[in-house]
Amino acid sequence: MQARTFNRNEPLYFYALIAVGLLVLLAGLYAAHMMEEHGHIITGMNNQIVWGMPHVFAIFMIVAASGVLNIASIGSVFGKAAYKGRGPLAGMLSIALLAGGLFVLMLDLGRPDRIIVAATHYNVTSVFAWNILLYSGLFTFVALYMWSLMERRMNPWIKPAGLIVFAWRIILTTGTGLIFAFLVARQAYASPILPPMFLVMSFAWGMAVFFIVQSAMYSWNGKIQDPVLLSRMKNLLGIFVLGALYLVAVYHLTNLYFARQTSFEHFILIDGGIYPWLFWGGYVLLGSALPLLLIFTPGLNGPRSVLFASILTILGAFSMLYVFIIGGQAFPLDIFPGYEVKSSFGDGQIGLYHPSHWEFLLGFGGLSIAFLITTIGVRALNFVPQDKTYAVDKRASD
Amino acid sequence: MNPLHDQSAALLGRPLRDVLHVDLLVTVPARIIVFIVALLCLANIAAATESYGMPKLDIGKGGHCVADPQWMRVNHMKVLFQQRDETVHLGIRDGKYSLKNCIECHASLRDNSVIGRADSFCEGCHRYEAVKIDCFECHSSKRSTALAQEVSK
Amino acid sequence: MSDTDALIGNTDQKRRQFLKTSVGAAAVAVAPGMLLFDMAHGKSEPVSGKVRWGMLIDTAKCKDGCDDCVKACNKENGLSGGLSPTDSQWIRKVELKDMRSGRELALPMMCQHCAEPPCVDVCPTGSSFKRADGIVLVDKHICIGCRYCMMACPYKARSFVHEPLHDQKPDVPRGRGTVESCTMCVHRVDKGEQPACAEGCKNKSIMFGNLNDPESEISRKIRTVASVQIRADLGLNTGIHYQGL
Repeated sequence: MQARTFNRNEPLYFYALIAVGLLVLLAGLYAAHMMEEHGHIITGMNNQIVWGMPHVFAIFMIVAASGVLNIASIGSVFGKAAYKGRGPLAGMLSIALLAGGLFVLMLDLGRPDRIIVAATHYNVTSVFAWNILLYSGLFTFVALYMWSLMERRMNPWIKPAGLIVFAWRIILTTGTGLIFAFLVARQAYASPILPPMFLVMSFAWGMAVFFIVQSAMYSWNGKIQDPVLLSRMKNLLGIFVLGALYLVAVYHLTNLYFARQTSFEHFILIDGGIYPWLFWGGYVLLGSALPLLLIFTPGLNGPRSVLFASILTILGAFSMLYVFIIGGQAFPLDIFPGYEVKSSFGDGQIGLYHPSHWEFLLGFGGLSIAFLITTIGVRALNFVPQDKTYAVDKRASD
Repeated sequence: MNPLHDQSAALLGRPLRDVLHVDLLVTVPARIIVFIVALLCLANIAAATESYGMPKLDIGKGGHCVADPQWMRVNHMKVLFQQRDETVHLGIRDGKYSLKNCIECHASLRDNSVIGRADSFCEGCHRYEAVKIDCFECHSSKRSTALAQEVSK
Repeated sequence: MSDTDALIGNTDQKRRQFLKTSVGAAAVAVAPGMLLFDMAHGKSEPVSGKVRWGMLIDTAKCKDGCDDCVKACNKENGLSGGLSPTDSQWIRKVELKDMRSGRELALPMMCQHCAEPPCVDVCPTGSSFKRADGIVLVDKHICIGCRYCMMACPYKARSFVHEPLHDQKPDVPRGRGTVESCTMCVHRVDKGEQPACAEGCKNKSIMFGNLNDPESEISRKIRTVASVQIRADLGLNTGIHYQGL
């Protein structure tokens, strides 16, 4: 559309976006209310698949929340000047995503009214309990870091604040990986590679989210992204996507080597129905190979391609998490190695899971929280990265 | 000028009619609205004062309570919180304040329950005070001796 | 004194009054707690680690197709007995077939009451806990329903309550949104009785007793016959032993 008409109607579009966000949030809250009133029986989760679609959304958001801070770290910790202007935006996105993820996680609890119990009763051996500290800490330290970035007199504090945030988010993402790594009896988990795998995935997903938001902001304000910076950032995204793919490959290859893990890998990679489809088609092809193609092929890598690659990366992330979280539960526990088992409680059977619309609504409710915080934050505060060389009006360059 | 000084003057020095903005009540509609609101406030106060007695409770078997009733009204939650930890974690089941014993005595003799009616032992006061009871999501609200009789029938 | 000074002096007075009232209120609030501490002593003894409750299950005596233990557990604990994926099952009969030899057998499977329970390690609130006498329980007062323990359990022992419940047994509170599992009939054990499954098995395949007492029937039998713990490789030291596996 014409830039002039857009500029004139811009407040209208903004309020329209907010209205859409609020509607989705309302739907999410309604889903949470229904789950609390009727119990989890209205969802697709059961005694075999205990964590479902809400956890896919929540873990994506929490992992991306930590990864998006990479952009800020490159500026504040590693000293790359071009990224320094992007620090505040990255910080705000991190807070928005974490808030959204926690919204979904806490409302999916069997007793969300007992959240305060989680804060007052603390089991020091539980990763979930560590996470309570890690998540609140991330909120606090990111807020302090943003303050150091955005207020001139606090600028001397950027380096220490940036370092703390850098260390904190690595610990936090490690914790997310450890949630699964500590599950000693499940064939899908119980692996030390999971924390580094989640760490690199966080880099990729965070970068992708940042790209999408940045592209939207630039387009909204009629700016063009600096090609040199774009090139550097897209290469980074490519490296992260490649790194994540590498660690996933290592995870599966090692598993395949153990005879006792073979049937599980067979299920996930070949004959598990939806899980191989999502893994190969959703994650490997659409979520990794295609983005890599778009990013590294010389003729293709314009801003549109990179945006598309980012969106695909996120779709790949959801596919990967679905296979990991739900596929990992669907495969039955090997309680009696060497025996074929049958029982009334699903022993020896593949668990069936059909996500209900309530779970999707809750997940989208979390996304809408992140969306609302971002949209309102971007309008209220000065987050547009001020690249010194390029601030050309889009119309003028046509 | 000391702003604090100004504020104190504003409160102490101005006439009441200025504070209440009586000058706005020039129009008839405004006066009618204010009158109706005042009437409703008075009615509310009257109603509240009238029903400000204790709700009537069906105390079941009744008799001598394990502690002074007024003390119980104030402290029963603290007592239950401590008792439940002793029972669950330490296996002490014969405490004076066990929930099962409360229900054994205080469940209504009509329906053997402490919730369900407006005058039920727990529900009566809790409804009045608008405090949600969480216990009976998990705990049976019926006296166990009556239930045992039902099962054996 | 100017109006301002009068105001400030007034505020100080009000602050003092507030402090006095609140300290007084705090004292009144604390007092009953101190009273309760006194009352705590004078009841029966808490359970201790001198006892470790366990079971020895003879799979040879367990008949295929029989589910008396399941029925007894359901009746004792007020479970619905339903078999849909969202229904709670505290004990279940598992039919096994050795993949190499073709030998078939059956056994009851319930919470194994491990000495090193993974479910206790992962519970964020400490709701999943091991009692001093070895029984692993869920303190449903503080369970928030996160289901992490269900993910962690190697034996699929735990169930989640997916809908609001009614007509619970008075001795077995259970409710929507919390996780539950076999309690080894702790309400019966504390009275000196046997768990319902052990008592309900007509073939006497479930033996219950004190593993810490070397002269108890169960300890003597474990010393004499070959028995295993399921998934012993995990190092959890379960309280349930199986003979003939």
